[in-house]
Amino acid sequence: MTKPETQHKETEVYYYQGPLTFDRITIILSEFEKALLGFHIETKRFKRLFSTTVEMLENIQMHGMVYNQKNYPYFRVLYKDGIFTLEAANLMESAHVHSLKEKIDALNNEFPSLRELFKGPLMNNELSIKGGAGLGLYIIRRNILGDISYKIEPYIGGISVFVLKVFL
Amino acid sequence: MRPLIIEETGATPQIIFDLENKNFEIKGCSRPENVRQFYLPIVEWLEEFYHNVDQIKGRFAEAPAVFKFKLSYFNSASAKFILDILLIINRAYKNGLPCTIDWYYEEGDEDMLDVGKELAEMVDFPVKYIEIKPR
Repeated sequence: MTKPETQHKETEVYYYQGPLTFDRITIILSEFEKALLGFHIETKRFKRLFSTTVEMLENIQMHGMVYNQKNYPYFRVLYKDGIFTLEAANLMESAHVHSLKEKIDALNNEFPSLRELFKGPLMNNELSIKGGAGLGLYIIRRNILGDISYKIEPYIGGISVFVLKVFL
Repeated sequence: MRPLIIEETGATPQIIFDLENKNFEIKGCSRPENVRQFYLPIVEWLEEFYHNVDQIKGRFAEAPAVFKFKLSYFNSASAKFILDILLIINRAYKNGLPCTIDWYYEEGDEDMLDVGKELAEMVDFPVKYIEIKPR
């Protein structure tokens, strides 16, 4: 994926494109925290930005796929008029597109309480091999302003591009 | 029971589960590289604690066991295990262990307070919320 062009007068707070490992995510979080220092934001918002970033990056690490070096996932943060935009893109198996859409649409349409969510898969020990039974998306939805915005488009045989964008 | 002590790192919390000194504490940031590997010994220690609760509860007759949660952050993968920990403590409480939770949150971090309250709805024992200054 090539780096998208910024079309408005937004400040790019952070940008990373490349492979994502646990150690790389640790570095990104550290760099992103430093980048946020200049904005003097309150604790609650700072923690929501941190939390959303963790979940977006770990989601890519666990579920994203690398097709070739030109198509490494990216993560970027923009700032305009007091609002941060966090955007991440990665390749994914097209076979999983339907279930991912269902999960996001369900969270956007009807947002459950944590108690209701825990009554479901987490309480029944149905953690997926790769992660937390969709809890990451729930945390993102909980943190942000408005709905989770996303776009999924076919890329090449059996592979799709997933772009996730949230505002905070 | 042998104490369970795990040092804090940038991505994992400090764990102190020390029955002899009546000190039970989880403190720091939780986003382990391998969440199961990190939390398994903690869950196993608590299961042993629970299975011995009839012998243990007398030690807390005068003052309840206080489980201190001082988490600055935890990711979604850790959440399941934090709930597991609370549910084991809840079972011990239902079997007669006098206990409480102290749930710490940083000043201004209302989300951590809210999560504590929501988790508290899933257990039967008292939870106390304590505001602290950010580290």
